[in-house]
Amino acid sequence: MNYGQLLVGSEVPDFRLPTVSGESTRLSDFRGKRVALFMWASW
Amino acid sequence: MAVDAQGTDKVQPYLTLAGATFVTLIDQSNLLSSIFRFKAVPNGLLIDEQGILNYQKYGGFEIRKPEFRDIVYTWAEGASSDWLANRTQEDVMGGPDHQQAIQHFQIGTNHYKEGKTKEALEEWKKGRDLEPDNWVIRKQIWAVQNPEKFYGNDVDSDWQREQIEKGA
Repeated sequence: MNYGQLLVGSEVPDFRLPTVSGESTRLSDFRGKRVALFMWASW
Repeated sequence: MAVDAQGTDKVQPYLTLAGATFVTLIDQSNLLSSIFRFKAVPNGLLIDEQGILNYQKYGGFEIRKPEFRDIVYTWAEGASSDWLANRTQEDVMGGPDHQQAIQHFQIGTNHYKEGKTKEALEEWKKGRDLEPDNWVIRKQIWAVQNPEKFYGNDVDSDWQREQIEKGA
């Protein structure tokens, strides 16, 4: 998978990831709401 | 979303500690990194109701920092993408007191050229006080007051961090 650099103003590709409790979640589940996405790590 | 390869076991303690009530996704396979092409975290992205990217900042997106927190909260309350674009520029562009700050800086620089270091520092500090996040002014003050931290050696980034923490 190779999407190239995303530009502000473009549509973010949908993706699916599990939550901490294991439920599968897609970005598109949040359509209609503003989404603040933080990416972090424990290390 | 946590990009930990080691998964939920490593991530959950932080969520508990923070009292997190937001949705937390686990990305063990670096899927997000292939979509967004980043090499470091923490990152912050804002995506609007239509799934359009409004803002992205890769690396150094520390949500404890007021400038990032303000961006996220104000945007979440409905600020437009135009507001956001302007706001993003403010991180590095001068604010309302910029011209006045620069005037003090230039007066100070003239003093400095004449060997009047004390007067120069006084003017530079007036500029710094008008625009505290002006790094061109702040670091010039540091460099003149503490040349040993800048010249003849590697730049001492630990020392610089200390200066920032104590508000110098």
